[in-house]
Amino acid sequence: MMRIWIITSVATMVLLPQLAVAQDMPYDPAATQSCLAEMADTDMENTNVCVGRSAEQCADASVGGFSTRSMTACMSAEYGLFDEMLNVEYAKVRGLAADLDKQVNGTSFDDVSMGDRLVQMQRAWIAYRDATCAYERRQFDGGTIGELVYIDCLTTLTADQAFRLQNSVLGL
Amino acid sequence: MLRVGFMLALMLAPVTAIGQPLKVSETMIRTCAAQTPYAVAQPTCAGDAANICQALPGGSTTTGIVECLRAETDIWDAMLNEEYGKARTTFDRIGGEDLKIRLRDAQRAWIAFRDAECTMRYHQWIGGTIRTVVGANCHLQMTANRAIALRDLARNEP
Repeated sequence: MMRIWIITSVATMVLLPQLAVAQDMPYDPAATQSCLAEMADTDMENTNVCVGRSAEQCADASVGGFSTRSMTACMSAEYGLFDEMLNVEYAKVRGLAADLDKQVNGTSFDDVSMGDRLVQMQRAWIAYRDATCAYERRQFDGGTIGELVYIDCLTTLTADQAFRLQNSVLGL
Repeated sequence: MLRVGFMLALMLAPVTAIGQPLKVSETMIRTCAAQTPYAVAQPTCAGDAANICQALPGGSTTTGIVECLRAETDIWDAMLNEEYGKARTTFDRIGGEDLKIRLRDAQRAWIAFRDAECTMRYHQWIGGTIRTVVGANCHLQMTANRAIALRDLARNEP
């Protein structure tokens, strides 16, 4: 858990040195959060439509208006929101996996615990996320659009994984 | 070839009450993909064809349900391969070898993720027969997700 948190946080810092000094970036997570709250009651399967709501509002409200630059800064903040959500959901599933491991102690068909399987899955996800987003950035050849595509990719995949963990908490 | 395929189909077909193999509608699954809008991660109609298949004779047993899920997964997997091939062709034109290698690496990483995810889910239910249904459903949903993602990636052409 800690390890994953560190990995993603380091990724954020390396990626977004400008974020710390970004001035007047009017990012407010409310739009995305209220969308998520609404979808949780009505349409749990399609929560991904909420991803980027606050970032778009933020870019529109930025000094100089909507641009690749403002959208990249705003999407970076949105990434932070979903990275945090992923860590919260992961911690929940980690707790449930530990409970399950206690229940089936000694009756499991093999020696791998649910906790270990969860860690393996999450590591595989991180490798998949990194390979996918590296490739998407390369598709746009590292320019300013490439940076936006990259942070958008990270945000989308991170949100997907947070929702996957949330919706499937040791269920179907 | 046709003959071999036919014999294989006979050998692999699950034995049902009336001896009919469990089938899914390929048209229905391809329509589902076509109707899934750009940038929608999870096609909500994925699994519909398997559900219909489960209403066929023999389709509602655990074996039948899994057979139906796998039949639908095979169609999504074929579409995934088609989209992957299209992406490679596009990158031949715009990005060359480096981009193709990155795409291949990403696809390999996805396969490892899919396996880790679905193995984990299977093992959550290790004590019951439902585990095979959970595992097969995981493969179906993840394959559908990836087929759409690859389709959309190729549309991101700069």
